[in-house]
Amino acid sequence: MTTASTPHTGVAEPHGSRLVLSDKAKYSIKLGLAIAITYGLALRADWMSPTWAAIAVAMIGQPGHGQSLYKGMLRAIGTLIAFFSGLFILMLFPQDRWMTLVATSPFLGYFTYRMKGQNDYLWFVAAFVTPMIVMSGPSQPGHAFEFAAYRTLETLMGIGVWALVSIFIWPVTNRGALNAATDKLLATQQKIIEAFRHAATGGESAGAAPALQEQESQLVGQVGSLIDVVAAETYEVRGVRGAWHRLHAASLSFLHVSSRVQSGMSDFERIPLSSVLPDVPEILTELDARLTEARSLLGGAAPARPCRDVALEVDAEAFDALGHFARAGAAVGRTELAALDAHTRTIVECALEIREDKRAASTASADTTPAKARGPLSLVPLDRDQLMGAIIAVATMWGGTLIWIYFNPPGHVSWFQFPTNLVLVALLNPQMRFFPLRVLGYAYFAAMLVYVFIMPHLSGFVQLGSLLFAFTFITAYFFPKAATFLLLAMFTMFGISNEQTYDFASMMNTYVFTMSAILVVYGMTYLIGSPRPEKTMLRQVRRFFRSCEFLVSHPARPDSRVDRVRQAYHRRELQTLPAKIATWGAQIDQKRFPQNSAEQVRALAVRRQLLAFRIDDLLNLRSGPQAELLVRELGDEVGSWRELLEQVFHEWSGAEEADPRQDVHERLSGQLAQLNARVEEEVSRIQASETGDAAGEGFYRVLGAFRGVTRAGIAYNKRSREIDWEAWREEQFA
Amino acid sequence: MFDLIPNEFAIGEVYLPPLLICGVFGLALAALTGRLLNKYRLSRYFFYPPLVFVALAVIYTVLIGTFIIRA
Repeated sequence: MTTASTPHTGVAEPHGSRLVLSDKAKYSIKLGLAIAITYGLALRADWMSPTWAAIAVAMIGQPGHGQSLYKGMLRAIGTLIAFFSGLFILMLFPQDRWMTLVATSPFLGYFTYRMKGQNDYLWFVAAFVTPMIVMSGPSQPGHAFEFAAYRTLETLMGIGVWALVSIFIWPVTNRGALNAATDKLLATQQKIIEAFRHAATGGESAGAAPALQEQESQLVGQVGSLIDVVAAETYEVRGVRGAWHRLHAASLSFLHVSSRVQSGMSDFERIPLSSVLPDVPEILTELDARLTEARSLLGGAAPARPCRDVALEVDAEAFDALGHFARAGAAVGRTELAALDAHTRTIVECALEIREDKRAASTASADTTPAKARGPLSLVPLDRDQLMGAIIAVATMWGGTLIWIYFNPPGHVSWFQFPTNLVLVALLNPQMRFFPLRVLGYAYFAAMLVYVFIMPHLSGFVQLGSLLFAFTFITAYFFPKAATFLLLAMFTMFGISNEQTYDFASMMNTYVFTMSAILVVYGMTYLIGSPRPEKTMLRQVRRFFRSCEFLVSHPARPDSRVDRVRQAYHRRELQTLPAKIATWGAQIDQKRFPQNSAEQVRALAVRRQLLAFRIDDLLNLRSGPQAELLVRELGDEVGSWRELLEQVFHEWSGAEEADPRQDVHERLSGQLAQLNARVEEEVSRIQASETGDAAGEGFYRVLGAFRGVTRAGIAYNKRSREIDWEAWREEQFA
Repeated sequence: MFDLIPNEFAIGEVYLPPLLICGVFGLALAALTGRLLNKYRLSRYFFYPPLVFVALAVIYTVLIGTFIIRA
């Protein structure tokens, strides 16, 4: 066999040439083989439900063996968590169904809440396996432990079989992909720095193109997802995983800072940054050289140059020649350049550690990103979307159980966990909420046809194994997007066991049950709101501006504990919602809303992100002594500025119709001009009467934060006015 | 003409309740109506379309069950 390097993939050539298979064909063959082998082993050992092992293969089977091993590891840990949680619940209330439900709810809620973020697949597995183990109590009294143990054992066996198949047959490594993605990421960062240098030195460029920023963001995500995957397949990467993670964290911080610099580029054009900070071109050249060095180190070359220190000295004469607001912009620019300096230095250090395989040196000391809370503390403040997902999952479990107990339709005990599992799938893919449910409907129908017309004619495992292989191959090769659902349908409908029996009524009941469960789940997910992307986006935009309004209108240091919790909640909303809104905005069907182009939606998302950054900066600075000094001295202007912002955020949240007679742009610009004039009058006096940092850079950073929020608001308003919001608000059938 | 439509459906010797068949047709017709209302921008006149969809499905099911399949 050869690799898929020729254009004739998957086609046998006529004259003495070898069969050439595409990567997709190889993967489909491997998956089919692994599922057939898994079923064969489980049937041979006469285990409780051979399907569990095959499900594990179908779920973790990925093209690269590192990806598979990593996902398999998460699945194994999730299953073990569910094993202990399920048995613990059964141990507490073995004879009381209502108390069992009550006890399962917090476990399910917690696991569902954790499904977003790090190790989401682990928590997804824990969430859907726990109810299955809990329900083994009433459905198989006395065999709960056996059920849980077999479930865990067979999952591990499935993971093992896929690991062996993926390693020994056409192994696919992701090492090259990690190296290529990292190199591309560093090259993109270099292009961004080049664009900044061009803009800062008076070039015509407006900084990095949005496409470049987007590419950087995608590459950061790609590198982050590949590190653990490659670490699972090579000792070489696993040994220096810490350095890889720090390199990724520094790149993520670089992305955030470069987004801020880019968004403030219009300021840089107004402020002659290179005359205030004469070393700007030099530092940007140094940053570029560092990234070149990092790329060459990761490529295996010997260290060529150490990082040079470039002091960002301020030219006092040029600085004094600026107005106070322009000085504030320069102070913000200087801070951001210093942050880029620190992040690129970390990237080079990490690249050196990776090249020299310095396992012992992989400490967290050089990490330039803020430390995140770990354990239960990482859940606080709560994320509203994740919390809603947890509530929906628990409500579905209760709803399904009540349907089972009081109506007992086809499906019976499965009403306890199957609708919950569907909800978990829908929550895991919120942007395609109805897709899996709809595909599952078609998939069950296809599997039903095979069950009726083919399976009764089979005898012996060779024939059954061939059918399993063929079905898996066809689904993975021809329907890759729907493969998971087709395979799930196959597992459920075929009902493979050593004593195979065929029952048309049972099959129809399964089909009716599945369709009913899908309808119930679809109804339940309406509790979150309409599944249409534009409706979800509008809801999130409303939440975003409500949080902005809250944060601007409330004091920096709340007195009561409740207020502190509320502030933390809104701060989290401010930080997380722009990315979520951008994701949903990209899903809007452009054919239905031709008046709002994808480009306009993307541009608006960039402005919203900028606004979030600027408000976040202001919140970070406003509790400091410089901010208090500014508020004390310019109380009236700052007060009316805050009131205006509250009003504008209130309008943008859609809570009330904007007054067409009053233009937001004019009002914000007017307020900024007023504040500017007052600042020019008062700041010299304030500085003369104050000492220390009150007169220094810290003061200008606060002033820059006020200015940044206003300018970001003006930029957002400009883009927002181009959007036909009414078209999105219009009610429609799903 | 409707007298020719059977009131009972059996597939593979499995008896399907007429109400189930009515419900399937009711849902399909409600979905079709929803699409048409979307296409001609008439859905904006409803306060909450998902609820209207459920109502339409029930109305169609009852109508089919009363006049066509006679559940």
